[in-house]
Amino acid sequence: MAEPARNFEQPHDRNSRLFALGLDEALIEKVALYGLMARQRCSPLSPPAFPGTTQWAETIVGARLVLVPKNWTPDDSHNFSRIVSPDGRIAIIVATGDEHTGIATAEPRTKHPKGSETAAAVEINEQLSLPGLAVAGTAERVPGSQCETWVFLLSTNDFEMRYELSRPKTQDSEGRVIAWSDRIIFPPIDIDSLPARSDDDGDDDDLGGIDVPVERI
Amino acid sequence: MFTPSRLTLARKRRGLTKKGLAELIGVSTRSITAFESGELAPKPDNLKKISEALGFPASFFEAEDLPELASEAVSFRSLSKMGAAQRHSALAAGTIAFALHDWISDRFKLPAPNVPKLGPGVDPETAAQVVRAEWNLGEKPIPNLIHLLEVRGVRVFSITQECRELDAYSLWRGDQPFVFLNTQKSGEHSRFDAAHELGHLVLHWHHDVPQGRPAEQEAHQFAAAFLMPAQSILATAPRNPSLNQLIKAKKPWRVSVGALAHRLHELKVLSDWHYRTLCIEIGNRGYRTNEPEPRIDRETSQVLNKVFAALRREGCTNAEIARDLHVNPQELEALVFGLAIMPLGESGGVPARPKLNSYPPLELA
Repeated sequence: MAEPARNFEQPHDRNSRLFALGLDEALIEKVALYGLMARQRCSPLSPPAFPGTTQWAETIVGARLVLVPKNWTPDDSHNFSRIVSPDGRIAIIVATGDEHTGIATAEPRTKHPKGSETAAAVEINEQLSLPGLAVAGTAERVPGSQCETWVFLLSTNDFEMRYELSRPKTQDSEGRVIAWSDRIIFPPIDIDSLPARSDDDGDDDDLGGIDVPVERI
Repeated sequence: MFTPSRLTLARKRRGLTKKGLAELIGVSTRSITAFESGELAPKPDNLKKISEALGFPASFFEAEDLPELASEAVSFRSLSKMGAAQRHSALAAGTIAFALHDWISDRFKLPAPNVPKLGPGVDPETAAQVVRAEWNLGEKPIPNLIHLLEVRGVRVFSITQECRELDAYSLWRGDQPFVFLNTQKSGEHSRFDAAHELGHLVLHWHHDVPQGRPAEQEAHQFAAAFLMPAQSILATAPRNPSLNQLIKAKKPWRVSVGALAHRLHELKVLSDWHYRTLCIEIGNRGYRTNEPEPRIDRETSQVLNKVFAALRREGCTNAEIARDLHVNPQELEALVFGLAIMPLGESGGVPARPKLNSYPPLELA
């Protein structure tokens, strides 16, 4: 049995792990919303795969929109769309996850098998996590092989979008990522309604509570 | 001593031309012109007729000059829909509101004005953010906009019955901002109007010529951005909503479902296609004229209610205030209609609503 992933689920843990990657939660949420909004804009008349594809693509766009100004670099070599940190040590890709995405107690997988580039990235991730071992072999083949790859994993249903930023560790024989070394798990985004405000249902008199001072002279 | 400018004011207040007034009291138009220019003072019997025809006490015409409100200083909503008579009437009502305001200011200390005036060229979305920042509102919904305006020193009065086609108007009188609201619209409509007028006060304070469509659009955008700040809306708005979801979502923002749909479209949360579909459905269900539940209660004035409550406790009556200002009590009631309850009645102890039946019947749109 493989070692379970380290989960970063509480705000403090999440933030410190993100900070180490040069990221922050507000920024990730913005990216998530950017992709989600694009998905929601898809007409009901579109082919069924289109909203998911759109969300995947627009999440990449969103990530680049917010990270390029922070000196991250978009990279599409071998048609493998990534965004790479300024020091070249972190790369983020976007993938759709299964229904276990964003749930700390479950073990999510990517929904679809991934290609050879993902396989190479997962391999580098594994080698980078072996203490004291230089990355052999792949170092000559892949420039930037000191770069660890993280997956922005998304899963959206009619009610919510769940997402996490996770470092892939193992793939199955078909190429799905099935295990992770680190999972930074975000609170889900509610889709069908506004989050209820606790102060929202009171009498109008209770709302706001502005007292306009009027004094008799 | 007859004050010619007061005749002009009273005539305009009633939406009458000189010719119209002349016909009402059976004198020549030339005579009215002479009265208003100060060339001639009306004889006592004519003054009595004028007083009766216009519904102002004779003493009104003998008090000191009231500064006339120039239409240039005022941002009128729906200006194009309005005839000159109505515009004049609204401005004249504004002049009387100033007199009431000054009367109140002599007796009560009210919040000092604190409304930012932004330079020309600031876009409405930014302006709304600036005002929110200056007033420490964050990104939260605004529970009561009239109270917010009042605590920031804006004086709010009601647009009178004669001008009910008008939605709202606003102006700076020196350093004092005023907003006039049509309180016979729905609560949501009136609240949006108040935000719209705040937009004019913030963005168009430097205008000295009547403002056209672009200014109206800017004020409209300001209102939407101020009531529904982009970041909150983007973070919390329903995604790809049905109309029913949208109706549910409007509640915290206290806006009409139409205004929320428009804002979501403006922020590109709704696609053109989706927005169009929702608009058609809103129209089909009659929500354009009849806001669906949950509806908001009409916002009222805290300043005016506190002032009148204090006066009522002191035994001061509506009639006494009216007498001080040389107008009919109804004239004052109209200025606070829907915003506050005036101390009606000679005893001064009975709180009562302004009498709706003292006005012409409501016109159904």
